[in-house]
Amino acid sequence: MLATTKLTYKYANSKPIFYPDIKVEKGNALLILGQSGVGKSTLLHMLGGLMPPTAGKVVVNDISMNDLSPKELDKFRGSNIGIVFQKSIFMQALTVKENLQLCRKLAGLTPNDHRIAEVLARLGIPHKSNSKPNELSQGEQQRLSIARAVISEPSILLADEPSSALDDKHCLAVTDLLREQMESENCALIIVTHDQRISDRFENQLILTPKNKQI
Amino acid sequence: MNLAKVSWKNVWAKPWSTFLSVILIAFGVGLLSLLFIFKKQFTEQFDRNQAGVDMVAGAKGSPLQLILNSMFHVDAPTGNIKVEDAAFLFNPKNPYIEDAVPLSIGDSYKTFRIVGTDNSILEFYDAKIDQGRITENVMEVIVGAEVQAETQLKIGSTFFSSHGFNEGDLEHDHGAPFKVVGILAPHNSVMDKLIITDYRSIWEVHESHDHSSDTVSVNQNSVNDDLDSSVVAAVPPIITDFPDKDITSILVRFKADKKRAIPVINMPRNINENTAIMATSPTYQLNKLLANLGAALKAVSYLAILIGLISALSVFISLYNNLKERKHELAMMRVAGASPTQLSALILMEALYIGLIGALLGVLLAHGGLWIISGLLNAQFHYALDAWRLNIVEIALIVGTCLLSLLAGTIPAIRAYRTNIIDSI
Repeated sequence: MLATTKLTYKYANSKPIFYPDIKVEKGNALLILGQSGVGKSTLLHMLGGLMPPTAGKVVVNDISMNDLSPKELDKFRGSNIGIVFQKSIFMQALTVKENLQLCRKLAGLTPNDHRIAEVLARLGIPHKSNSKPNELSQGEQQRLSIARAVISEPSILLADEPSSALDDKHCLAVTDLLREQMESENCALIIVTHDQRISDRFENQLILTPKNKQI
Repeated sequence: MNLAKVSWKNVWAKPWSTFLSVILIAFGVGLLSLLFIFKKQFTEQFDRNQAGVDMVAGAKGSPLQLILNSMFHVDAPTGNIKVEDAAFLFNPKNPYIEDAVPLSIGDSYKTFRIVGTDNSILEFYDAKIDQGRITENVMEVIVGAEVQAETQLKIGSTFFSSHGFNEGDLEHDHGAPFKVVGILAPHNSVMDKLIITDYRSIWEVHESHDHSSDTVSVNQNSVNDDLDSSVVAAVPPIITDFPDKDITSILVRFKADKKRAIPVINMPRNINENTAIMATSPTYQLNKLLANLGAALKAVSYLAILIGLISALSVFISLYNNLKERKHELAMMRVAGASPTQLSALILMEALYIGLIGALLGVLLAHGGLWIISGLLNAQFHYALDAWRLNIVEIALIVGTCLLSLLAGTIPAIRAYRTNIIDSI
């Protein structure tokens, strides 16, 4: 589970952004909505352990990420947090399966080809196991992004604008897919987006507004 | 799927850029390695065939040609000399000379050279009879191990010699043929490639069409002074019985304790100035040859080093350019749990792989090249090089190339280390 307290981030030459406290339990989803410029991505980066907050704490599974050394944080991130980015980026020299194997390796997990096959099957791309990422369609690449995010059995699944580039039909399909993963992995799902189309799919919502910047 | 494997796959994901770097490295390393092995084996061949020869005497002309022809049995023979002109070298009373072996060179059998000499040459080279016996009569021959292996001559085989050293040269097919009486044990020297016979055999073969001698007989003065008529009995028969016959050259060994004596050191010069024949020191000639060769080899090795440096630059550029394209991939690895150190290790391993493949390919090229050169040398002179023997210097060259590659990968590795996740995603 994930909890934040008094999370604050301050960019140089700019007013600090204060974030409301967040708490998400395993098996639950939270949608963070907000227009551009309200600090959505900054929040996601802090939740994902990619960027330390200026003040406040991010606690995942009772461990405060602020207290970890850089090396510990790398491993912690690899094994506890899965992130689906807007852009699909993979190791182009490796096959789909090898990309997923590498992720497990980097997270410090034992190789498990059975798990890889299972995740690919769940996401509907089992036949792409030995393809190179650039041989996949856009939709398949997004599924692979999700596969990579969950392959290391994370307790937190973060998604950054997963639907904004998609049409209405695919937009809902992706959110369903993420929700399914959340359920089968029994992890916490946090989606950060400005896409209002998916808002009625999630009961837990946090809306960031420019007023977070003031005070 | 560990980092080493990822690195390996990355190397081959850009095959052309990798290929360019690898080829450049291979050429640099190959050239250096070829130069090195060639020089080493060349020197080894010389050392092996020096057989303690301190001086070679023959017709006036090119001293190097005299050495190459009389000791290594390559190059054309120099002109002939009259036995009596060189008689002083055979004089057992000469206080400086331990041993002198006459050589008559010019004929061959199936491109293997026939050397007219006496049995003392075996002792000179410390060569041992493997089968049969030493020659006792005219027209008997002992064949070297390689000659036997290639010509299939056996004890009792007979053959006619050819005039000259090439296949198809005029055959001396009249008169008695040569008869094999002995086969030498392998000696790993020029002895393996020779057919040894009594010097009189050569004269016998050539009796019918002897060449006009180009040597001029003059009175032996200073050097010849100590020839004492009272010891004529101990003098080898070549000078008592055949003073007016022709030979090609004489291999001379000085007495061990006199090698540094002033008259010995001055002897070649003394002979050149005062007699009709020429004498020279093989050590001096070979050092001169190696020095000249060394200068040429040095020039080529500079070129090789230049290619090596360019190849390092190519490794650097290829890694650096790839890095720009792979910024996102590296950031993604960080997200998935990779530490900055792991990213630099990934890049350094790529550099190492390219260096290692290039170096190994280079060494392989060098040995392949040597193998071809060896084939040519063998066909022409019966000299083979040991083409596939790996040298410790080559190991050093491979290690050095890997280090240079790693160096070329340092800056890209540092950049990879500094990959900013947020900016690159």
